[in-house]
Amino acid sequence: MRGSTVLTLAMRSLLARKMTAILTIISIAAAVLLFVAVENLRQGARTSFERTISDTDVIVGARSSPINLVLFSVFQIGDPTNNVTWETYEEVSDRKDVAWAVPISLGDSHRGFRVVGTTSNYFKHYKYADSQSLSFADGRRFDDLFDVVIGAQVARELDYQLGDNITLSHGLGATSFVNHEDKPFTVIGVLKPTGTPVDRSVLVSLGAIEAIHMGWQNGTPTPMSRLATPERLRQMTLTPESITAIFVGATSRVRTLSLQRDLNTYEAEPLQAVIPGVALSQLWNVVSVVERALAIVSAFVIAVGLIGILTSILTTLNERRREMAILRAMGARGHHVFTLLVSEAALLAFTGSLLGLTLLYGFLWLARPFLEARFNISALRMLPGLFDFGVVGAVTLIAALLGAIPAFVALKRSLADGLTIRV
Amino acid sequence: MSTDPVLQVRDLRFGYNPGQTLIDIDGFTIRKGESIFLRGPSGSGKSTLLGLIGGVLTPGAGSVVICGQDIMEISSGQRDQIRADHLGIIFQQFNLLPYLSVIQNCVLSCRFSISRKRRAIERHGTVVAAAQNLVRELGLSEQHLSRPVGELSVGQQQRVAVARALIGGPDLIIADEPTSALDYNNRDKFIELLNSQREAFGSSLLFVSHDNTLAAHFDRSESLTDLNVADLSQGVVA
Repeated sequence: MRGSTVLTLAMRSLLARKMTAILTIISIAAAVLLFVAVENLRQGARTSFERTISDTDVIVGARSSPINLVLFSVFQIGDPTNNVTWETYEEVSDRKDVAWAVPISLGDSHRGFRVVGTTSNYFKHYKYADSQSLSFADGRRFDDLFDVVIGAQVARELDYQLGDNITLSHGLGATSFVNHEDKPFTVIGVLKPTGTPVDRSVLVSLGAIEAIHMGWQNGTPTPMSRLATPERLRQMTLTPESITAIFVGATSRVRTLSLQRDLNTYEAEPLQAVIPGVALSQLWNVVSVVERALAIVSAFVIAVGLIGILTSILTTLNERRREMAILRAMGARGHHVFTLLVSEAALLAFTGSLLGLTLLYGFLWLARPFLEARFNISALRMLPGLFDFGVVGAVTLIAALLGAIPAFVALKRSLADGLTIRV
Repeated sequence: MSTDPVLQVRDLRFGYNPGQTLIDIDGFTIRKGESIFLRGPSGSGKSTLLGLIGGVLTPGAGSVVICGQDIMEISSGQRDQIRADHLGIIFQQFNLLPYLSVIQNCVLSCRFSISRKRRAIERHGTVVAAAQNLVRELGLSEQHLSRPVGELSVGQQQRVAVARALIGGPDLIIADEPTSALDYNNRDKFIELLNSQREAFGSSLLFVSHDNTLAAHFDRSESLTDLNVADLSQGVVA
């Protein structure tokens, strides 16, 4: 008897017990779906995490913790503790071992999106993924004091076009009671999606940050601010007193470490210089605890599903003694009985895990427009990959191995029962 | 081959545990085409003997020769093959796999034996045609064939079991109390049908039953209590 015949028998036998079979398949499908989804998210998160910044050798900020510095300067999470003076910025950018230095100034927002004050060098030197530069979907870099360049997600979510006028708010919250209404900005450029926090940024010149706070004290406008009309401000030379952080590129990679040490021991003010790669991997270590916990939990869910298969087969064995005796009487060998039960377990697992994959990727496919609008999913895999099919293979294999337990029991019983049906 | 006995049992001893003897038969032979009635009340070692003939149990001593092949001399896998090729087995009842159709149940025997498959194809073209022909000969209509086997009456199920045992013309049909679930009228009809069909195939028949009144339907009658001289008072019910 060919192997395919045993498989056909296993399939028909399962079909005869539809209810349990379907429930078992569903439990496996759910488990595999969870596992694969977690893994997909994990990979996606890690990829987009690692792609966030590249080619920047050192990030400089006021002394706090390296992770905090990276969080607020790159990921736009958390608040800067202190500022860096403009003099320091100038000294840093004048250093021989510094090829370029891009200052950023944070503290304002626009409808929940953070405003990044910077220079037009930002567009030249900020790189992400594999040394990719920012590029414009529409428009150009800021030029006028009241020009603003917006990230792809800002444009999409707020439905902004070139030429739209927007108002910035003081503070980083989604709603702010203190708005810079008297100084409207014009959207001059829209960036292409990058899959990085830049997509959520509103970019203006450093001068603009100065301008909108002209006449302010301690975070609130004074009557003086009324005098600072856009026209007047355009006439002024607006140099900030301080900035939040500096992205620095070294003239050569080899100098990065000495540059970092020099900046960390800077005497004029307490500075902190971090190497993004190092800080990112530290940060990932923090995040990965959760991520690993999720992976472990979902692996256990698969284990539970597999044990479900085992249980569902073991409980049917008694009522199937007759089936085995009939097959034996027909000339089925021990290995046929064995294979029958093993392939039953494998079939359940295979069908279940395929169903799980289909459900997951079917869902991703259907929900794609929604997901793209809500989350940054550029790093998610939208099609099943090698890993997913590996999971199907592994789950099937483990189920087959577990199936050997009921198979062995059935084999022993069928040998003891002989050709007599005792049930 | 035609003069060889289909089954030859000699000096057969068997016990499940060492020191135990459940079967002790000096000699028992079934010739080709012969039908034998073996009367065995429960506890006479009937199931054990059938297990030995079927090659599921290994004799402690002696020989069981099926169509010239001594099952003592071959591996258990080969014994399974002997069973598939040469024996057709009919149980008391519930002979059929509930998840297969009538025809699928019938062709099951051919799935495990290439020689029986070949013979069925030689005679009827395909295995399925052979099965259809057999169940029709046994008095089942097309209507019965399309039904799930669980919906057939016990008598109809037993006839499907006969068709399955006969397909591909095995040398020996072993029927273990196949009529015990049938009523009186159906019982005689069933045995006649079984006999006429297996004669058409030239198969021998070993019909085991505790009911002595059936003995008249067969060429020869033997009593297991006479054949088996083992002391069965050892407390093990076989």
